[in-house]
Amino acid sequence: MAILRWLNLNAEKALASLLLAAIVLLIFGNVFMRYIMNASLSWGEELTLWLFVWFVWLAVSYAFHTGDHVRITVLRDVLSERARLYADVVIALLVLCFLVVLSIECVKLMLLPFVTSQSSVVLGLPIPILYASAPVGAGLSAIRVIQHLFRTLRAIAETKA
Amino acid sequence: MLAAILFLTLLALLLFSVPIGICLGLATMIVMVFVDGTPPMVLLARSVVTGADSFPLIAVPLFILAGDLMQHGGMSRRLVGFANSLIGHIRGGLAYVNVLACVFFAAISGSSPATVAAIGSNMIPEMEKVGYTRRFSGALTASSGMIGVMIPPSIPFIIYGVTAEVSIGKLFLAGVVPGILFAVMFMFVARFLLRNDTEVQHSTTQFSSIGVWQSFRASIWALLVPGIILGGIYSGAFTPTEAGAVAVVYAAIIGIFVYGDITLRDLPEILAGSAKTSGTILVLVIMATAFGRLITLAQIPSNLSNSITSLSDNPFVILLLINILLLIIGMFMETISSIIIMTPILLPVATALGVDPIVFGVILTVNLAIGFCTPPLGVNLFVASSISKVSIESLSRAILPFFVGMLVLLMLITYVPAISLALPSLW
Repeated sequence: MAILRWLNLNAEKALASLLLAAIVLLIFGNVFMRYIMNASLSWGEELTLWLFVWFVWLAVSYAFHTGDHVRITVLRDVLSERARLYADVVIALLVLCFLVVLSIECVKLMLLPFVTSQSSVVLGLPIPILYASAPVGAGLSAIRVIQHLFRTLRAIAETKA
Repeated sequence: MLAAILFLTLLALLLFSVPIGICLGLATMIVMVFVDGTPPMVLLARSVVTGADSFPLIAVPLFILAGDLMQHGGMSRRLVGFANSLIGHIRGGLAYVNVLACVFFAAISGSSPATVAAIGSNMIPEMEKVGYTRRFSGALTASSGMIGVMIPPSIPFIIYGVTAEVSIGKLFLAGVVPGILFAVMFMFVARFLLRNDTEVQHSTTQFSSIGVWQSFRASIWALLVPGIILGGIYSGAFTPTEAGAVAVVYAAIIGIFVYGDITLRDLPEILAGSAKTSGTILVLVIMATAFGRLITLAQIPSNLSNSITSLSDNPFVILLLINILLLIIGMFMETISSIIIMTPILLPVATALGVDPIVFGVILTVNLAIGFCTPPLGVNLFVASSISKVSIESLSRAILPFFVGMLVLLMLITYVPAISLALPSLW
């Protein structure tokens, strides 16, 4: 249970932070190698890009967790507090629909023969690993949206009572 | 038909305050599912991965992280101190210090709201102490914060460079002179607004060359950052992305070992904060990529450019129309997604008129940066309002004189390409 609680609070935060740190070190390390050791890492750029694509999706989910995604609130701001809660339920359901359908489509894409048969140019890593970033990120985001949805529903129940 | 459904769906979702990235993705998805003759969903699934598969784009989180490290590591505070020691003693000095500090901070940060937050939280309370109204200081900081995306590094320039496939290094150089012009203009407008103000003290500090020397020495490590970033890029030592990584390592070393404002223990939280900010920006990039591919396949860009060019064949008029369109978009839309969507639409029109793609990048960025300072969606206003505790409505009115100055300079930059090209043409 303690592990699950920690993962709930920190999974994307820790992974995205680690990937960002790794990207910095890889790119900086490559510059260092090129100038100080006179030998650049041929696989550096490809690995960095793969880490970056995964970083993007984990960071997207992390921002869903903290509720920091940018949105236009001009109309929402004039609603009453109750109406705002109901609007939030509809918004969460719309976002959830999108994320679930996107995850399914991304998994379908991953399993297409022309994707499964490919591997990356330098490192020879299977391409589905790269494409898996989107369904994993969108799936994690969906979990975060469901958590927010339950919080909103609870708030609605409380205002009624 | 497709265009109408796509843009109306997008508008409805945006107004309903669905997160902007999801609005772009969901509108794309709805059109793909419900409109006949549209590409299959696999295009969307591919775009959300390949949209991020770009080495130059990695510069975005790197410069965000570098900016966060420099702010937490005490660089922005020391830059404000240096600006204050230089011009704090003249009449209306703190207003000028505010603008100058924004210029300094712009040279280490690529984001406009981050500039407002860093400089505003330092300057607005100081300005209030000596008699400036918070309304004035808030409007001034919200305005001069836009310099953050004009002086390199700049996240909008990186996004434009990736989308339009032009040199990010040249774009960075092209932004320098316009950025400085905006700073000078903001100082003039502030001087004009303060001309009859007797409340504002003539000076808070005495000018002393010793004071300048001390604050210069304290901030020297921050002042070296633009030299390292730009010098590295233009000497060919590294790419803009690599410059971002070098800036991160440099900022961490200075913050931890030289200034001592942060410790190794602070790094995880700073990394997490930058990762979160990056997530909110990069979701726009991948979703706008999918949206952009759909509208390109539907030939909306070429139809729109045809209708723009059919309105007039006078380059002067067309450029004016493009500016008006971009200003309106900037008022209502978020910057990053606007750049990704509007570049393929407007760049062909502009190049057909003989506008250099580099100059067009500056025009586009300045237009959208002005949108930072205008309601209803103006991030600089939001940040300045939360720091100064002045309402958005009141700030929006106070910003009007600055807005007029922005429009004048926008016209100048649009019709005098030499302003942007002066520095890049030296390389």
